[in-house]
Amino acid sequence: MAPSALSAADVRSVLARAMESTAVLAPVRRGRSSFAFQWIADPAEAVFSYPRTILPPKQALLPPREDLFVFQRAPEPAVRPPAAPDPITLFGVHPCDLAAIGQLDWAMQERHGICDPNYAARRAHTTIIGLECLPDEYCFCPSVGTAHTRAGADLFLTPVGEEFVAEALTEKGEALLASAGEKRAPSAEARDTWEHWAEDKESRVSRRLKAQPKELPDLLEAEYESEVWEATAARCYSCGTCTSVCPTCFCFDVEDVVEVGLASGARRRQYDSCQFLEFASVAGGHNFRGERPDRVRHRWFRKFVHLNREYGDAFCVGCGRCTKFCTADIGLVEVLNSIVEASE
Amino acid sequence: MSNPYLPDIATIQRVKPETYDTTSFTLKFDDPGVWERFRFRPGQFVEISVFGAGEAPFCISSSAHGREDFDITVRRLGRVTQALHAMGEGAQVGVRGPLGNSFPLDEVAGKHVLFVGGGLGLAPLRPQILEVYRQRDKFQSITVLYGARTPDDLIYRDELEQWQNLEGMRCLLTVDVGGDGWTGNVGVVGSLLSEVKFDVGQAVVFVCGPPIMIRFVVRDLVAMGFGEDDIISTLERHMRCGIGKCNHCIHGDKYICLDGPVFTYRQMKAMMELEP
Amino acid sequence: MAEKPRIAFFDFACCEGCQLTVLGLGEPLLKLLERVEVVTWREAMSERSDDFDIAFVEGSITRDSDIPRLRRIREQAKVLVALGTCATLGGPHVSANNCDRGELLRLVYGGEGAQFEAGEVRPLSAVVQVDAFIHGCPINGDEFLTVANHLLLGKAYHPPSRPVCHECKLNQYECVLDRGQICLGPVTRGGCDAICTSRGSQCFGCRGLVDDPNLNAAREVLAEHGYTVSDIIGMFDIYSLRSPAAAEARETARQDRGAIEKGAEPWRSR
Repeated sequence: MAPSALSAADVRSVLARAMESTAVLAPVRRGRSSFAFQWIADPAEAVFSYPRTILPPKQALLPPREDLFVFQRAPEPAVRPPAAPDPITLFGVHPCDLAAIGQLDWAMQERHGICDPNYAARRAHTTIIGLECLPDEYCFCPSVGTAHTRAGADLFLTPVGEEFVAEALTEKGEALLASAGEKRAPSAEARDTWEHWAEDKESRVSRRLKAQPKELPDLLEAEYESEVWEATAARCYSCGTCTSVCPTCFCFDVEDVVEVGLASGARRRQYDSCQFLEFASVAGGHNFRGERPDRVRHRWFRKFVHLNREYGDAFCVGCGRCTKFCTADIGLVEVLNSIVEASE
Repeated sequence: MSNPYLPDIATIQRVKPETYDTTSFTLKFDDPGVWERFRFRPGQFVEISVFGAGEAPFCISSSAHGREDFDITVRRLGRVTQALHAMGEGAQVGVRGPLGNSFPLDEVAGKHVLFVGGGLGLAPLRPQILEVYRQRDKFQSITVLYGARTPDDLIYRDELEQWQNLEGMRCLLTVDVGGDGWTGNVGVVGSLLSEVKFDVGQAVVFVCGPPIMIRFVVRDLVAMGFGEDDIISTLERHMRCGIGKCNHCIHGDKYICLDGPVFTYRQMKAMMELEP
Repeated sequence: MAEKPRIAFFDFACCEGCQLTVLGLGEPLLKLLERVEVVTWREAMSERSDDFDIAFVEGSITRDSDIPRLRRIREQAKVLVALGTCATLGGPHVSANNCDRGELLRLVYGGEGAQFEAGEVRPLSAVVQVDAFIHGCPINGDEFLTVANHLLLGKAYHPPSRPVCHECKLNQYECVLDRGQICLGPVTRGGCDAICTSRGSQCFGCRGLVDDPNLNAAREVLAEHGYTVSDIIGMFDIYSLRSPAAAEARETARQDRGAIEKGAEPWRSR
């Protein structure tokens, strides 16, 4: 499908159209210099250019808190699955976050041949409008091969000057595009910028992994006892920020929440973090990762050894969130590179 | 598509106190159709819900054969176990499962079968002991070594008595600390291993108990000449989801809930952050 | 349930703000009151009774005369809940422990000071066994309801040990350090839903430290953000996070799961 041109106003009318039938999650300004995905009430709230949001769009598919089911305690126990979720549109999803949704789709729906029904129900009613971006100093998408991801998007927008080059990638995307009115072709100049976006984007990235993702499992395993883990742990608060903001982390904890009357309640899951002290503790008190360096190492091994082998690619999309938002300025790439260097 | 997080409702048929802090519960699904697809194998576990208290994993402790209900044996330890202990016959709980892998049976036919259990560790072994005994013609011999801290900590007391008098099974008991009226062995369960006279090259051993007991017993078994693939144990973690999604029970690339809970000593040795 | 559990509120040295938070809960409080019978609550009612099952105790212990009173409450209560940071960790006035008591009394009350009794400031757990801890200055009303629920279900309540940062990120608040303010979020126990950082304030550590605080990292990181040693110590001392008493109280709160863990629905024994 040939790309077409959209003005900013056109994009807002696409958003308005999406809002007629779905809830729309879009990047908005937050505080002085931050951005966050938020359910918007007006297309004007959405921003078209942002480096990264605090939480990834994962929050719409695997919310920080959600009910797995509701139950009744009295007069006798009964369970009921949650209500079917409303359809949603994710707007302004960067290529790295598109790649992350692909990884989550695998983890939550396909892995081990077991499908998470809550995730699947949301995902089935999700429309995604992707948005091209330029990297900042935290991005390392080229190192993990996600800089040019389009898969997962229904409609993909590249901001070119004041305009957008739009590619409809699915029928849903076509329909959204059609809502902006008569199609027009981008100018020759816009087309030229659009065609060269990929090289330009790659050339701007300064943070680089010193190894290929497929080399990392063996490299890291050889450095299982490395002092890097201890050194990193000395700086780490175990605050769980890295995992909360990660677009590919999916650990959760489960608890029962009961209403004040005690007659009914919900089994609720919420984000958990392998970095939290009690994550690997068991009834009776033993903690299998009670030491901070073990928890730190666990995170890198999960993403770059075990899931990497199983999925066939690093379970990381290079979005830079964990590094940007780390409360102790621990750099994911720096830790990996120091392992790579140690093994050289 | 069935929802793997939704429990089926089961009713407590029987409450049998085993020790001062451990009780066995017999559970039967309210909907008999559930039993048809439940069909568990020895070694598998279930997630039990006490609605409001939460959910926790328990190994099934009853025979996989000839029953339409199943047992779990529960020590009062946390929120869910405590809530369970407060429940009586007729009370209802939620059940998800059966989950996880199971003990090998046909694969170990023709061998001497040894069971070594410590404390509550006899519970997950019980379905396998009963199944091996039921098919005893297929095995060279069956030996059960079971130890607990004190006589009061021995579970399945009535059954142990029965086992000690069964033809085709050798069952030896011990306690770490004896007491009034205890005339049996005193010493850790590992001390009973000297009673093993068969050719360990022709044997398989199933071990379960507290981590420290497993560590010592496995060390002794290796010294006796048991192969690393012939020492089989079952691991207990706090499996939250039981289906490989929540990631609480992982060790390296292994999920206790999916790849386990049954592992060979060779597998356990290769698992991260585990010192068997 | 045969009988509604009987609830009593008490206070020692505190501002009574935590009880006020409970009073301000509105609708959920009315619903809770259908499940329980409040028999003593000086801040809210004039009736009182010494026959109660669950005691919520606000405030810290500062005088010798507090001790027998607290012990009497403990003896009567089947479950004793420490309500708010003064009760759980000692509260902001633990800082008084670093001053000469006589000088402090003169400073605050002038010549009248000598007539007041003012001893070491201690959390409740330094005097009696506490069965549940609700941290916060003031407490989070939702957490109070959660604890009340746990008690009614006979379920042990463990305050979350994850830090405020976690809740701050889940709410997508801009990082306080990035806003140019000093913040104790990374080492402070969460459960407050990051209410302070949501409104442009920083985290002062009112819920105490997490179970495994990395204080070396905190010193290093805050220094790198340009904060001086006295800035950092000043923050940590608002809630006396460095004090041995706070560390001890934290450890007690972590280990001592009290009566609730020992038997379900303890008040049912009556």
